Amino acid sequence: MSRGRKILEVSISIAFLGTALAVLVEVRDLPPGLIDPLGSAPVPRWTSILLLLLSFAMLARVLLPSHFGAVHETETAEDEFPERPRATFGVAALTIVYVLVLSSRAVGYGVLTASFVFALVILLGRGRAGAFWIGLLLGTLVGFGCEYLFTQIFVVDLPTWR
Amino acid sequence: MMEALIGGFVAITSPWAFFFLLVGTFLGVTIGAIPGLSGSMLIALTLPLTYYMDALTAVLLIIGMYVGSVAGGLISASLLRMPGTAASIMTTFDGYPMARSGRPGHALGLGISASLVGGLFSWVVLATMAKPISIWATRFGPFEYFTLILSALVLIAAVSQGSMVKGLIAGLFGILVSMPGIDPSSGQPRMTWDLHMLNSGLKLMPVLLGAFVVSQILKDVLEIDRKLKRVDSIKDSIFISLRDYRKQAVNLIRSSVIGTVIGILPGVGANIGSLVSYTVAKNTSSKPERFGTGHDDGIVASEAANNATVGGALIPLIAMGIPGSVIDVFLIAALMIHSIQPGPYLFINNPDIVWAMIVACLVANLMMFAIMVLGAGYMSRLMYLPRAYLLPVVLSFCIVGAYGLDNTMLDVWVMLAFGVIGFFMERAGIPLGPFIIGFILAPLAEVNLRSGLSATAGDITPIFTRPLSLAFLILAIVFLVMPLISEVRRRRGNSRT
Repeated sequence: MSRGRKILEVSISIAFLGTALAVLVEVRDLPPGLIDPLGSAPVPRWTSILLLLLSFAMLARVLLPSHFGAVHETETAEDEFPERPRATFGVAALTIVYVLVLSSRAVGYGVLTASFVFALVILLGRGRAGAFWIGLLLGTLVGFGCEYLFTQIFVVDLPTWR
Repeated sequence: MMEALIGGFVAITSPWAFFFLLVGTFLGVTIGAIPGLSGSMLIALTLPLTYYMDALTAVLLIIGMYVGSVAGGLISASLLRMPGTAASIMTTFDGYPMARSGRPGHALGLGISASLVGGLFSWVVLATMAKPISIWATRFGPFEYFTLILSALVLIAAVSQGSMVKGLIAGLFGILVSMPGIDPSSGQPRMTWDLHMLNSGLKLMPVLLGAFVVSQILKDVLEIDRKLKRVDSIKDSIFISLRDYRKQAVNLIRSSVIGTVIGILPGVGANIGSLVSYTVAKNTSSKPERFGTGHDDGIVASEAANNATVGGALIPLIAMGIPGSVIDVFLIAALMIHSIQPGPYLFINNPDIVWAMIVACLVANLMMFAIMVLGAGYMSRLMYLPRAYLLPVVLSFCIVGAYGLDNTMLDVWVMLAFGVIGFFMERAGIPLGPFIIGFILAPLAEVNLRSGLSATAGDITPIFTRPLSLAFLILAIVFLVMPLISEVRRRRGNSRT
């Protein structure tokens, strides 16, 4: 297992451990059932306990492979290609900014979506000939097309400037 | 039954219904053929639009997409060695070498014909078995339902690709995510952390869109520089001779049976069906060494089985309300949007819808065959559409789709959160199938357990004394223990060698 994958699995195990603990604490004070004998707490409580145990198992398999046996999952070596984590982060960041601005209703939906699609095409189409024009065309089509489709046909109240 | 089937035919031959089934199948095949876009993505994106349709049209559209997308993955699997859907992974082993050796038409033709045979076989089983099973399932009490769901959850976790521990973690996490909100039995808030927005719980659609579409988009962006190895053009005939059908008859029937049976198992989908069928075909072949080099039998085994799982998977959904595969969760969502509860009473409460679904499965298979035979050549060109242009469009549709569900930005944030969670889960090898099945089935399991315990004043022993309930429980234990035993055996074998 690569170092990056190890770090990821450890982080995810810890995240699941945290989730399970948070649920255990949250359901601690739930009162017993009035109508049914089981009540609201036992199912989430036992699910969390199981999740806690399995997350520990996952953590142990990553950190102590000699004790618990190495993880026998195939990581295909063929079809090697460079991954683009920065682009992935960029897409996630742009999306969050887009949704934040959309939530604030500071800009119209059509204009904002057109700019969002355009920015993503430019980001992903790095160095591709015509990315600028295609981004502009796609952005306009998607932004204003969706605005028309959703407001005029599906009658959805899109988030747009107040 | 014949009368009901004729009724189903009449329902789907109305112009709009037929049109939406055709559009669904066409879109399914097309999207299934484009690497990076999957049937789950397409259906998840379409679900918000189904709010504006009547129940029948919505269900027909999704069934068309389901059948089309499972078959469409064959095109890119054979021509690019990149399966359009997970169901076609096994097809790449023989489809691509055959296409590279100058017979792409033959590879596609075999796959398309096998898909049709698999689809038709499982349809016959669906049409004849769904109603008897649903009548049988009406006798289930809450304990039977609870243990059935438990065994389904354990099964999907056990057969998920990768480690079983991770499959179980995914399922348990899905269960926990379904818990926040007002407890349906007691009416009091639970796991809301004093956030009033959590009182209504996490809705299915934003979670589905996030886990299946946004996470896939992030994954595609990460892999956007992956070079596609292309097979230039289809010059040989796509039509398969009768001689080929005769030669493959045993393989076709065996693979269709395997696909249908695996489809019936709750939560287990087309990828497992094709994997098992391919392995059986290889192990029973007189020339196993030819598998993986462009062998006809490999393509037929994989494609007949993966399409057969579609009809098989609809059986538990229609008869018991349990999703036969991950895509069936979307069908359940589409039905629930229109206040239709899938399960044993579907045949009683909505016979028109259920028979139309069954007939649609047959017609969609025939449409898929026609579309792929006539259009595979053209569709193969769509595989090279730059993802740099496709993904931004899909992402913006996702956002507007999530918002349009309830006109609230909260759904969009939930979708994005589960997109990121799903992305990291997949990167860590934690499958999303058990997560989403846990999310949709857990409330049903809990309600049944609690209503059973209410009826018995807290006595849990009926789980062990009622025969069906005990049988499902034993099944769950077997599903849980079997992979552990085989792991121990494998390790012992390794240490000996």
